[in-house]
Amino acid sequence: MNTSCHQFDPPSFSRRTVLQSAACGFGSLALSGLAQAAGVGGRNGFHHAPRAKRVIFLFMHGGPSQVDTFDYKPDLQKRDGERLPFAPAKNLDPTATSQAKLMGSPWEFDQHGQSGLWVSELFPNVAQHVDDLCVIRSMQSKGQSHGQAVCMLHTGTDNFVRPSVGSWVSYGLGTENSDLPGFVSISPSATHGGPRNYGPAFLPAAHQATTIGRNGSLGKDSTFDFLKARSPESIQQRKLRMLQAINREHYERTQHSPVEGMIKSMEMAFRMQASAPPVIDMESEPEHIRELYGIGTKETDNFGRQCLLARRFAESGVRYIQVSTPNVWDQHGNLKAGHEKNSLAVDKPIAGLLSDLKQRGLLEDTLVVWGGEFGRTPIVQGANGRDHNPQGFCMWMAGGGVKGGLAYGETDEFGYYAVKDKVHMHDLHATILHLLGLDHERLTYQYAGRDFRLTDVYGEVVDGIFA
Amino acid sequence: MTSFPRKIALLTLALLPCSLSATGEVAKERAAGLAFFESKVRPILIGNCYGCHSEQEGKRKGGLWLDRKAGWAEGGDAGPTVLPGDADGSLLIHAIRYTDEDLQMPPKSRLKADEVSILEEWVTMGAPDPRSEALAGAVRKKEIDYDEERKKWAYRPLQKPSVPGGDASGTVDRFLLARLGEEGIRPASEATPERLIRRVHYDLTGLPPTSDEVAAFLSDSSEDAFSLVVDDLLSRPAFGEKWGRHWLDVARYADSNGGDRNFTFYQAWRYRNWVIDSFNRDLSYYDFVRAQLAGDLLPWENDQQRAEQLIAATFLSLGPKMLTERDKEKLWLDTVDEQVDTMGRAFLGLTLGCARCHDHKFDPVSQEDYYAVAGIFRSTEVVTGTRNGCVNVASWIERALPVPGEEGEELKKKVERLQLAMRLTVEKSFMKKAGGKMALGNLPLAGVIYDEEDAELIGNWKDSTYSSNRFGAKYVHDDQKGKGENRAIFRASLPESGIYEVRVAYSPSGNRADKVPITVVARDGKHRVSLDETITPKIGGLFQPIGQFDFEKGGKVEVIFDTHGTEGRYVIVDAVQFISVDDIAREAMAVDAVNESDIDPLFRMSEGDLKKELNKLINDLKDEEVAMAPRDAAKAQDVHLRVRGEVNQLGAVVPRNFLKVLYDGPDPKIEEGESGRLQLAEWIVNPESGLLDRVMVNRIWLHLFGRGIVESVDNFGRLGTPPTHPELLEYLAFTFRESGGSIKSLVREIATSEAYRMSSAAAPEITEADPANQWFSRQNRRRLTAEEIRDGILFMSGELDREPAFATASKHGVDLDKPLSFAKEKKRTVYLPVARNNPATELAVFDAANPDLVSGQRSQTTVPTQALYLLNSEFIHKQAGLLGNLATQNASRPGEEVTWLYQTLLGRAPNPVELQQGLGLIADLSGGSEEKADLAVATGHLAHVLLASTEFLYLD
Repeated sequence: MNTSCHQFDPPSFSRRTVLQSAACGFGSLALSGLAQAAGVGGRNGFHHAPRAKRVIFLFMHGGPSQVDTFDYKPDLQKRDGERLPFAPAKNLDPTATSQAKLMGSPWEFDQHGQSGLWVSELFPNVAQHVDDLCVIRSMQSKGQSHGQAVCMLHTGTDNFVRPSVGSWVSYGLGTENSDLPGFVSISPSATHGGPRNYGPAFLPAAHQATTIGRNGSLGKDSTFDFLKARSPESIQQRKLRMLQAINREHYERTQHSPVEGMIKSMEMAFRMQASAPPVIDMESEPEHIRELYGIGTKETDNFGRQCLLARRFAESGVRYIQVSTPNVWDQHGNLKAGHEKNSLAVDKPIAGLLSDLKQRGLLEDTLVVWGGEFGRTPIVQGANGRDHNPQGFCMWMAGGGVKGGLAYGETDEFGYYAVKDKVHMHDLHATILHLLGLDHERLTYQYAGRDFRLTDVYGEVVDGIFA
Repeated sequence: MTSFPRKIALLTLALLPCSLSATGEVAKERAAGLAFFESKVRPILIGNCYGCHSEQEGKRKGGLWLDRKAGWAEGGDAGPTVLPGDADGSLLIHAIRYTDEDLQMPPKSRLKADEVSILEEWVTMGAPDPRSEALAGAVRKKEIDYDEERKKWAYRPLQKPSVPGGDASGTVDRFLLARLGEEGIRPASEATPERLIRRVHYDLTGLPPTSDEVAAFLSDSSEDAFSLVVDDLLSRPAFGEKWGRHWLDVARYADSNGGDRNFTFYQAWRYRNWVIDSFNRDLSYYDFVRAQLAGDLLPWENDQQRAEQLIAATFLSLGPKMLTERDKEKLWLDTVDEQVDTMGRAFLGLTLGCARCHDHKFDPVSQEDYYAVAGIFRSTEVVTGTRNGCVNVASWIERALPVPGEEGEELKKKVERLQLAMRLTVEKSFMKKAGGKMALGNLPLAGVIYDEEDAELIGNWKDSTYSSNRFGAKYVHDDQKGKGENRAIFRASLPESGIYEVRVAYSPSGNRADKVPITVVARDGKHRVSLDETITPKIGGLFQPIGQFDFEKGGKVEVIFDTHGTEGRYVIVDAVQFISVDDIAREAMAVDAVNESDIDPLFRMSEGDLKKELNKLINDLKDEEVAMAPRDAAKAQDVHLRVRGEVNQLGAVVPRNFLKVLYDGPDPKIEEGESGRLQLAEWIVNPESGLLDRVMVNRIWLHLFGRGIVESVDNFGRLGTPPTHPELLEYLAFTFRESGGSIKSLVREIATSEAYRMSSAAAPEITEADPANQWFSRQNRRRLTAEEIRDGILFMSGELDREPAFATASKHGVDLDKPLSFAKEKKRTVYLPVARNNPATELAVFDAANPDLVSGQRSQTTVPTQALYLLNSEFIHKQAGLLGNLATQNASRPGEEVTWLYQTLLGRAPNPVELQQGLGLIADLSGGSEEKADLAVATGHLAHVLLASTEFLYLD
């Protein structure tokens, strides 16, 4: 803890000097609960040399279809409309068990880049980056319904209350920048578990994500809670002077360390009200950068701003940043219209993020992960939709020590079951932790009579994808 | 596939019993088999299996070795892996075929098709295998020595400890002083009366004392002044509101489901209010516990008692549930797990959840112990049907509370109707999608029905409409021909795993076959039954039950009619009905109805109408006299142990029982049809083990001293912390038991001790000798809780509505996914909705309990969000303004408003420096104005300063 921060000298205290004070920093630090949290820091240490310093997780809530995006299945196209040539999973929608038919993808696929990876026409901009992408085509997860699968993706369990991946990372590594939280979630969903997907469960509360925005939407003046002062600065300052005087007296009398913690918190909170913390101030970004992310264009503005904000957090040293779409990918019907609209909203922003990270030299040590809680069936549901498919789907990673231009693993010829080099969600978690320098078997926390870990008793690091 | 080895296998079988002359042949075949193993099989095993199942890799996943014959013969956790000669029956082949999503090996990549063929062939030929290494190194399961464990401090029976001598008048003080004496530490002196009165008011009622109460206490110099205050506080309704909240933390109380679908629990508030009321009337802790585990099963003397007991059992239903889990057996077992774990930690300080997948690593709880208790809860129905009409989104059981007269009967019917609608909606939605026939015939049937049109008819069957007593448009018969050849196979899928009664429809007559062989394929294999089609079917004269079977959703569900041995008689095939055992009684009422008007129209509604009706019923009942209580399931039974906790990996059936470490008696008597929950509840409150008492008295101590005698209040196991004062803990537990579980008596005894009254500040030599306050040499300072901050402020500003509140969550709608605001609320916080996933800011900022977890002790974090909340929240601003007004109104001259605020907010008068500070602030912020309104605003700023001060936030 920086001691200069609580040398609080009211007469000389002004917002301007504080704004300039690099030592105490600024930004969302106070919100993180981390910088000042008394006795609740993480274990702060690597198990091995990290390949990535931070993660940006682009969560496609609802479950995008693998066979319509990054997992090209010529056989599926050919046999569109035919009866199922395989046995479907046990807990599938009952239609699939009696009269199920295959449905080919309504989109064209093409090979891109040096690597020649297949990408559908839904992602023309991301396709320009395929040589940086490591597409995992053999993902598997647990949970046939959103609630379980979303929980599984975020916390490694489909039914219990457990800490979020970001909370584990924050607990394991702390933050790169003591003024900022270790874990930020941008516009997280309120449904399918809501806050428990970015919550610390039994880990100390400080490892909860700091959030901004809500339900896939980041309003233009989104800020952190309680940041807006309710009276003019002069009044606030006058009150704070007295408050801190009586608090200090209380501390002198009691020598109770949480009292001291509260004194420091008060100072910091006061400074934070000055203006929006610079880290969330996107107005300062030049026009060409904003354009790169699709900011200012109706369809891409919202997700573009989320991605740009993610880059700003990444740049400032936040360890784990999640960006979420609203729960829009769940096309049980109207696959064509739905996926087209959804991919349009994210394609350019994501491509912009990758370009921007790259041009800043950040992609090397930033792991970008893209995907939903599950994929979708190659089986038609209703007239023109697809059901959930945790049996086999794809996600991709970029940067942060993974091999670009690689397609890892396979689903069967229809894209239903993962059959080769399967990567379970537990394996993905183990791999993310590994890339960050953490051993998923040693990152443990004792609670309720035993040691817990993100991957429970599962998980294998997928070293086949390392650069 | 080459046919060569298969022939050898057949030959081998044929030749085995033959004479010695054949030994040459046998040897040759054996050699061929071994050659096959060496050239084809071993490379596959080495390349794909040894990584996880061999000694050389040091791995034996699932308890299985595949690097030796004994390994697969003995098998792993799931039993023998290879049955020589039976490829289809061998787990190994089952796993590598990749047709079972729960068991696929190798786990990462499917074997190539020819590799699968080779292994199939190998098993078929008898699995020749020369690898003769013994199963050495097989780890014998460590047996728990229960006798030894039962002697440990936490688990042994209560013993009356001898009380140390000494000058102190109270027993508690004697124990503490004796220990301090051993350490050579003297205790801190008594707290100032101002601090003491503030502390005891907050500790016992969660509210501050009024200025008058402080003044009265300060002026009362009688010896029993303090104990009179304690008695007074114990008798106030606010006591239950404060201490009930402690229990609600433990009971993971919430007004919404959380999990994946955050449905509002419209009826949970009844439990909350019952808890508050129980603390206020000092209900015996044992009655309190018993009712929560089995209130719905306890006998009652009057309606009120019945209602209270039903409401108490809500405890079991309150947990977060993954209601959209499509595998309903998993949902049910996950719910059971949550109940078992909550019961363990809430009542016994045991982490039973650890034993779901394996024996507890640290505590004397085996996996069998877990499933013995789990069987009791598996026989209890909590989740059912659908909440919103979607077949995947489950709901929960509710029970009608006793209401006198006709109204009560009506209510009961309505509740029963809701359950029926929930079930029928699932079944009809499912049938619509699965393509089966809906029961839209004359009979009011539940379950799912497959008509003969859905069946595969093998051989020659004749359509008939001769009898009008039939299901659907027609039925078929075999015309007494093709006996043995004609078969009818019904392949069904079912909405949920579970026990179903299978019924077959036929029109009876004397010329029908009386011994129709029927095979039912269920989860546990094939069952053969014989059907007599000459007798009149029991259900509506059309459907005849042929037995109850355990089916797995998505697994094989088949009913096969055969015609063997029915020569000279007709075999009729019309329809097959699968009805969950949970629905039989409900359906019977309709089927047996004498009058058409007694049959509930729900049975004949279309899926769409059912959904509408379901919503209506839920809405109609949300404000009725209904409790969120469970009930015993229609089919009470023991459960299978689940290997590694996997729902579909069945181990042995474990008879229902209590925890062995706490129970040494004969197996409990659980009658047919009983869950055993009543017996469990009686056992847990039985004085035989003192664990229940130790855990509770420790919590009471915690809430008065800020730290438990056992610091890990919810874990009395090996990984918990041992008691710092074991004799004191034992004394308190023993006294508690002797008092019949009176919480108020214990609170009184502890709160009136000299120890409780100590100052939290102590001389340096004391804090040096006992830095962590391990020996309770002084009181512990604590921050106000989230509720105390909000309630205290409202109380001081005069805004707090002291009357109890009731169904505060229902106005927020069907789910609590939107953040709740308490801005307009005036009731005490304990009565306001606890939204899982979306706690109100007032609760979240100051460490309210996480309602997903048992929480005997809250964490106390100091984070900057709290500072921001105190500085900038609307609530604090508004309340500070009100307090400023009140202070100004109560002041007849300058300075009195400052004094009023100090006395009201901090329970003491300001010292001269503080008085000047306060006046200075008011002067500065009123801009020199003498206007009353301006002064009030400036005084509000002073109130704000004091509300944000650490002295307000902490109890010294």
